[in-house]
Amino acid sequence: MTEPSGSCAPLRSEYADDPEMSELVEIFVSELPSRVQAIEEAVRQADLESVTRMAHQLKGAAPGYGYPTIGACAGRLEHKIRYDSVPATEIDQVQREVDELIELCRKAMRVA
Amino acid sequence: MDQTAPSFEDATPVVLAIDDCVDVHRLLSARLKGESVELISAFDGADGLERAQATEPSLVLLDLDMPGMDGFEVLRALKEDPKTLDIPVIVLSGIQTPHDKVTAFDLGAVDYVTKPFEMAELRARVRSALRLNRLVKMLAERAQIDGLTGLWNRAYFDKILESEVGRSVRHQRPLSLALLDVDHFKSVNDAFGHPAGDIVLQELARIVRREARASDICCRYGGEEFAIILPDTVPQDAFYLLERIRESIEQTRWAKHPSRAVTISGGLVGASDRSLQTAAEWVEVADRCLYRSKADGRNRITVEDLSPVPRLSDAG
Repeated sequence: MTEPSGSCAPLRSEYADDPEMSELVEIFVSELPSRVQAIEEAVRQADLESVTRMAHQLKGAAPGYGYPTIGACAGRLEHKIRYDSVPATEIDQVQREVDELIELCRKAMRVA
Repeated sequence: MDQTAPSFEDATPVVLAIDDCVDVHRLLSARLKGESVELISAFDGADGLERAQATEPSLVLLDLDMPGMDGFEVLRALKEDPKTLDIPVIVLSGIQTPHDKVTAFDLGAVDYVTKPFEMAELRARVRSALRLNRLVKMLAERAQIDGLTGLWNRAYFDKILESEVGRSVRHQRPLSLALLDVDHFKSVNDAFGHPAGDIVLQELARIVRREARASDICCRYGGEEFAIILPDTVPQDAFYLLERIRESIEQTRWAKHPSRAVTISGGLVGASDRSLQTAAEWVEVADRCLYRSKADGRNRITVEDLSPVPRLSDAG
């Protein structure tokens, strides 16, 4: 591995060892690639409404699966679009938050 | 509600979750597994409302932010429908403005949980809401039950007779109503004391409940008077049932007064396909029949069948 471990270390669910949850965590992780893809696609199309909705759902759901950092990051993205009233033409204003969110999702995907 | 034996025991409580996000349903079903609740899922407001009306759950978990019919609209509709009005609603929301919370509580929510929810906390809140719901239900039922006999009380009788008469008129369904009165009850009290009188009333209530069917509504009408509402029952069938009750009471032997039998007189009114229009009229006719039973020597049932007599022209 040549990348610095801090930025690419896999992100493990807090509930990975919780028997009640492990199966659900696996499902969540297995669906992450399509979520990431959907977010990327919405960003590409400057579809801010979809980005907001997906961020909102991740904010609510990810902590439940044991990924509070993903939830918090999605929350920042949602907040920025909603409350800073980012216009669709300037979607690059939230590019940093989008990248950060996708990066975190990729890290979570690496565990599976 | 079971008509003859009111009971406060809940079967497994049903919890209805209304949320457009599939993750919330998955997490709830995993996290509420240990709570002995049955979880039902609805993915939008309209579906949730429909399910709430159909299943009358013990608790609703309601997301506010849904496309289409949002949580506030669902909450308002639930609180406007008498069938769902008393179901406690916990609002789940990812939007955290004080204004939303105030609106949710003002619309009738019992609790408000912000997403992402802490599962241990949500579980505790679910338990608390279910506990409260059980108590409210129990109190509501208690208020309709006669303390001495365990039968439905007069207030419940008045309410149900009204609705059964209405149903019978609207749908042209048969209905029967019986009023029963203990013969010379005062002399039992005078000779053997009020505790003995109470035992008589309790035992009579037990016999009435035992002989009646699950659909019959058995009430304590007054001091030593009982009333039985028999939905979907023609007077002839009601009469057989009443005769069984009368005989069973007559044959009962009493530990405190073995040589003093207890009998009842009854007035029975019924219609097979046509009804008196008001509950008051039904009671009036039943009372008149009861009076006739007393006048004719007691320990008997007098029937008035209001069904139309077939006319010659009907016979063709």
